[in-house]
Amino acid sequence: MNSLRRLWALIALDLLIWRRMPMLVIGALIPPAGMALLIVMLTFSVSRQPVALVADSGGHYAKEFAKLIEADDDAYFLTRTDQGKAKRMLQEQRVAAIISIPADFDRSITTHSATVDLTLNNIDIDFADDIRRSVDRSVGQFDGMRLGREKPDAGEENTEDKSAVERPEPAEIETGKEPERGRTGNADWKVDVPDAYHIGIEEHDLRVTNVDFLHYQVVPALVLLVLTVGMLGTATLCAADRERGSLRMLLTAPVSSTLLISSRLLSGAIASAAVLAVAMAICFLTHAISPPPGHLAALSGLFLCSACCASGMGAALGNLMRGQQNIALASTLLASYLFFMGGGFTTIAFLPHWLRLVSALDPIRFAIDGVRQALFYPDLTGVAQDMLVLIGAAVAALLIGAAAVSRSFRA
Amino acid sequence: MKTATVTSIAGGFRAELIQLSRSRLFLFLVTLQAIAFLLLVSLFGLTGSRAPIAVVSNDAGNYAKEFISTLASTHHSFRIEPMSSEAAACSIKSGNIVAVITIPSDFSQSVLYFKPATIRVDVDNIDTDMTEDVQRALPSAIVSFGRKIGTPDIRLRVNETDLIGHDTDFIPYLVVSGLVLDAFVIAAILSAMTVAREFERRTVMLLITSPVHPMMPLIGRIAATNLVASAAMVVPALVVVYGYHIHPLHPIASVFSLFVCTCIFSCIGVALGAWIKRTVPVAALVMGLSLPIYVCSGSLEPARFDGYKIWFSAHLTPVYYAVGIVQDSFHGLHVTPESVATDAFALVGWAAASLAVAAIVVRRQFR
Repeated sequence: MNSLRRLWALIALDLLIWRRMPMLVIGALIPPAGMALLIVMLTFSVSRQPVALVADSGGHYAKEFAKLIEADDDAYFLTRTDQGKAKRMLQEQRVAAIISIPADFDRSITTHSATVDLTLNNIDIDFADDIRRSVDRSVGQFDGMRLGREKPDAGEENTEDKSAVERPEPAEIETGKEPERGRTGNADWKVDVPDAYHIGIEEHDLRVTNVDFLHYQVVPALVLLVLTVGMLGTATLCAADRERGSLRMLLTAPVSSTLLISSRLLSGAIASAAVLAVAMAICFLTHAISPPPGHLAALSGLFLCSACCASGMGAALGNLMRGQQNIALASTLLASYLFFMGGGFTTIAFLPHWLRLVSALDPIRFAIDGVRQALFYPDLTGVAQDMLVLIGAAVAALLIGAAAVSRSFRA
Repeated sequence: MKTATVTSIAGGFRAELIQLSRSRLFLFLVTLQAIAFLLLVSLFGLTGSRAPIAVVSNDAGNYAKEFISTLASTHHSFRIEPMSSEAAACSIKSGNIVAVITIPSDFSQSVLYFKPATIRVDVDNIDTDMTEDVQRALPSAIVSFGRKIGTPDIRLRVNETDLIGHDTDFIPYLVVSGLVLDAFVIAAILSAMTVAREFERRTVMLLITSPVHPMMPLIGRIAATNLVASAAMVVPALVVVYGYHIHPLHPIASVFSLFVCTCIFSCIGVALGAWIKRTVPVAALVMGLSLPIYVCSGSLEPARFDGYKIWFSAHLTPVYYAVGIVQDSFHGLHVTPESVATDAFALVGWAAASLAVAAIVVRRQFR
């Protein structure tokens, strides 16, 4: 009982020192806050592209194609305008592309020779290809391509084809008569339009979820928060002890060195857990995140293990390096590496094989995977495995950290 | 007085060079951070195209082969990995691929006789962005395939006109913008640390007693950090040229623009250091803010495409103008609606404003 009280006294002392270094706390908060800001900014870049739509034809087919483009609001931020204004917008980079439906569109459709003009500012292939794919998809849909979809759990054919449009007879186009609409009155082109491509798509989703880009990417920023606070906090406390000479004072205290080492490691973990608790509370209150019922324990376990990892690595860094600015820089650098290689800002599957291997050695990858699973998916598949790896990594990091602190005591 | 000014600048310059020569680990870490940024933006760039997918082909016919080759070549959409259905199922569950496309055994026959064929796609819908990418890319590949094999019922085609004669890959685009970020990180951290150190160690008080303006020795110090930052910038620049094989269209202009960016970002570092006055948060601030500034400054795509608000905010960071200049000199791309000359002029304005802010902050501190 006495040992516990002493341990808590030492932890409280470390936390007090840490609290009295507001610049250090701010320094640890800036990288994850910056990362969260980055993801928010990125949401604007990766989602919709600004595109101008110019319809020089008022015919039925032209209208139907324009509707397809307008309906694709996941792909475009659309502005309907005329040719002259569209060109000005393209020049001023207010739009990335112009989709033009030519005046003879309806007549060309009947002769199977219609074109839709795409003028593209192809500065880089990322957004340029997004636009190309989206326009292609609309072109495919126009000619009746079947884009079927199944629910992931039911395994049944999706029967959401609410609309049906009959292809107008060429004679109706010639006479300018408005062709008869589909049975439901909805003008979307769906499977009832004969499929010119004869190739349909049947989609099966692996997961029951609908996580958007922002939430999926921003949540790992919480792991980065745990990492930077734990690492920077513990490392700086170790360095400060040495630089101020307070280490000697601590060593003369009537406590065992095991207790001293444990308190240092635990104080780093508790500091990061405390900051995380505040961040999580804000997220819960603003409904930014809401884990499924029963997942809170798994989530807490994952964060706790990450905090222990961070604390152990921070202790090692703080005792191996000299100079607070070096330690601050190295801690931030290491935290960034672990975060990025762990898939905090990227999708691991896209990486080359060798990088995936490197990523598999990064314990933070398991923390990020586990946190995403616990927050976004109804079950906890794989979380036990993630937790096991994290516990192993946390024990290893704490042992390395303890060895480093112990070495500095002896020195 | 003139001699005293020159002496104090030269003294500051020499003192900083000595200081930096004693902080080799710090210099190494800053340079490492710069290279790390290049690698990190490349990691992001890898997710921009060529989604890894498994193709399970149950058909050995020619049309199936042609379709797979179309999947691989359409708009940099997919990185194809042919697999058995068991291996594909295992791979998608372990997160190594994002989708499995299964081609039915009668695919070639169906295409040949204009019968409907259905392709099964199992998507790891880990987030909506990735799912939408697959949902766009596959119909696009089918459209390309239909065009390639001359399907007669197709009524509509896309007639594309590109404003630029060549496509620039995403990673080369990102990495060149990344060099600007590197210039920002290296130059701003070094100069900010120099100024913050003066405050932290209270040596700034000694400058009051000197017979020249206290900014003079600081200018000497900043000149030294500029020199070192420019030398450090050679490392990421070499990584870009020899590691990524990105050869600038205008090499001299590229070197000059990076050098100018380094000098200007140094001035911004001076202002930051004088404002924060502590070394640890100043390093964290520069590193923490660098990535968001990078993203909202047109480093992924022209900032104007992200809407008026972001474009307007981008003008408030110097990186926006620097990216405009460096992308022009490396790839010949105009990524800002403003001309390159306007961008250069704005950057010079940033440098002057930063030095003025630093001088004001330093002077206030003395008072």
